[in-house]
Amino acid sequence: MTDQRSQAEIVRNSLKHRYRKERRFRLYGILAIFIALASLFTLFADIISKGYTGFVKTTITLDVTLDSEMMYLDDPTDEDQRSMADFVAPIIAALQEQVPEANSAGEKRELGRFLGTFAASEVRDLLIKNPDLLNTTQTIEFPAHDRVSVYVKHADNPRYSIQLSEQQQRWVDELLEKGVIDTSFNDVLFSRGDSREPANAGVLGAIVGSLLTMLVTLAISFPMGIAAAVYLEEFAPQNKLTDFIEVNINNLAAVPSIIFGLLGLAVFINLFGMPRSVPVVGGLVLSLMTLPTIIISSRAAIKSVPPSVREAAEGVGASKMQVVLHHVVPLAMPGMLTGSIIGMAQALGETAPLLLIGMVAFIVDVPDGFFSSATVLPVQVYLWASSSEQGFVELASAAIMVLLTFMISMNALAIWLRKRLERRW
Amino acid sequence: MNTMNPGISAEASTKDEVVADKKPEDTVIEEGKTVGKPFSEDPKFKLRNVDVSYGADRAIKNISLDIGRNEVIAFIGPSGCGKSTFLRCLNRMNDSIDICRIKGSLELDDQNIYDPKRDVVELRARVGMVFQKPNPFPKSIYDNVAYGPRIHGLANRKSELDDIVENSLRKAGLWNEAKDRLDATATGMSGGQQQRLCIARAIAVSPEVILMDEPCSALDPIATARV
Repeated sequence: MTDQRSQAEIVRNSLKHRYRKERRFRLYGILAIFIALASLFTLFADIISKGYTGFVKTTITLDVTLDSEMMYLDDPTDEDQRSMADFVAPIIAALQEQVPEANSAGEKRELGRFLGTFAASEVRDLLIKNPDLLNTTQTIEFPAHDRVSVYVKHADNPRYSIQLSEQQQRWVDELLEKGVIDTSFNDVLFSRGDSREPANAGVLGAIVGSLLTMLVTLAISFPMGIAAAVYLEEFAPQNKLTDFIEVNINNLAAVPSIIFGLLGLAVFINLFGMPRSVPVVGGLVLSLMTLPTIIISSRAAIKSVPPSVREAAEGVGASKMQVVLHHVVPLAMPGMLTGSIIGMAQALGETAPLLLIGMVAFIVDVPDGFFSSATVLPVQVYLWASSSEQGFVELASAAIMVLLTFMISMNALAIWLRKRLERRW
Repeated sequence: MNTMNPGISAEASTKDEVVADKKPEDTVIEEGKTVGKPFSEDPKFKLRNVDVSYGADRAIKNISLDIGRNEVIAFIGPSGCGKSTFLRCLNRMNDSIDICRIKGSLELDDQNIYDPKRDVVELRARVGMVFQKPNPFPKSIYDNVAYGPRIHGLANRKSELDDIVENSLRKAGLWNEAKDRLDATATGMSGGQQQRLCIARAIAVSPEVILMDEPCSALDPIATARV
């Protein structure tokens, strides 16, 4: 009896110790999650607080009298006349109406610098489309110049330097009060490609470029990766050769991405003579990079299918192919999809290999096919972030947010797909 | 009808034969302690000097045995003595284990089971198997039973398939429990129900032989009696 009692006591004493260990262990876990979440939150808060102004544009709305004499233009459909015409004059006149104190030629020129460089072409395009508007008064919204935009948005932010004279600042304040200069949602960002002028630059070109590149990557790496994984896992004999292949696939996953860019440059562009800066080459290079990720995760998913399911199917006389297609692949699908989407998300954020194949070029047009020059979101961020104009810096932050939104939605899709397809066995 | 061991189940079977498993001490023949007649005139399975080894481990040593038509034979023995290995040899389930080596002659209807030209799929359609642990597919109950007939193309119409499923479930004693939930997922059933489902699945392809590897270890006594 004494033995038993003392044994119970030993257990009771050790219990206290064990529970303490367990509590400590839980605490570590909670701490780790807390640190991870906190850094994630800090990252997002920082990016959003600095970059939300990228989603705001500054505009100057004016009632412009499209006077034919002032523009030296009688017939807007005549190209020769158009090339000689002065489309800026009526805009400055309209602006001067709002700022009566700017009378001298020099002051008018100062006023003209409020406008973005594309203001004149906006008037020209309007007249080409509707020649009837000549000699009428139209309300037109012009993008403000970067200088004005920075002043309006960041007047009291020491990180931005204001490039307006005190007189100009006073005028801008005046125009702001009158509502001529106003801020609104930056729809330009989502409807244009890149531009030399921040006010006219958008990420649409980069988004389309990214989508096209991702489509090529998906079309190549997903079927190839899954086929390779299924073959290696289900059909390939276990020998030195397959071991060698396995080791090399794992090595491939660890190769720095810029090496794949060099490979793409050497093979696809120099050897096969494919064009530079096109989504097809970008997609090919990125699929080389994602293939190992997809193969490794797909193999893990196939391995985790319980052997009992295989045996059951073989037991009723299913052929190897039927076992794989009817049972193994459907059961492994959630894991394969998760791996593929994570690989794709990695590829979406990849910059280095694309720099080498020329997707870093300045491209204004939104790409219209797999073989037209394009850039992608992370490269666009890189281009804008290294730009000297202040307006591009906040655009870079806005582009980062767009990129993050894409990544988060892809990861959410991965989780949703896994939940959807996951079955118990 | 020959008997080799005392552990024969006396059940009649609607099938050609059922080899319910519990296995002999594999040394019977070697030690000359064979009980009953190991050989018969016109056997379904004719096994001579069968040796099975996993790498360096010899799991089965030198077994010779005939299993007659419409015979129900049971093997008994301690765990790990090679009962399952022996059964798995009969429909080549050991093929997928690389290190498994089988020697001796194994014949089904006088044809060598291990002939390289022999089609494994056809063999397994003729020699069905129920495993020790219930292993239903993670699909509906109906699909589980219908899978075999479907891949072999045994039913041309939906109604035929329905009949096969119903008959198989009846024979496995599961119809009353399962008829209202044929679309429910099979993995949601209890362990015993799952095992009977696996039996139904094996019956559904009308095999000539059913190998059952301790089919009742997952069943309660009442269900066992029904089987």
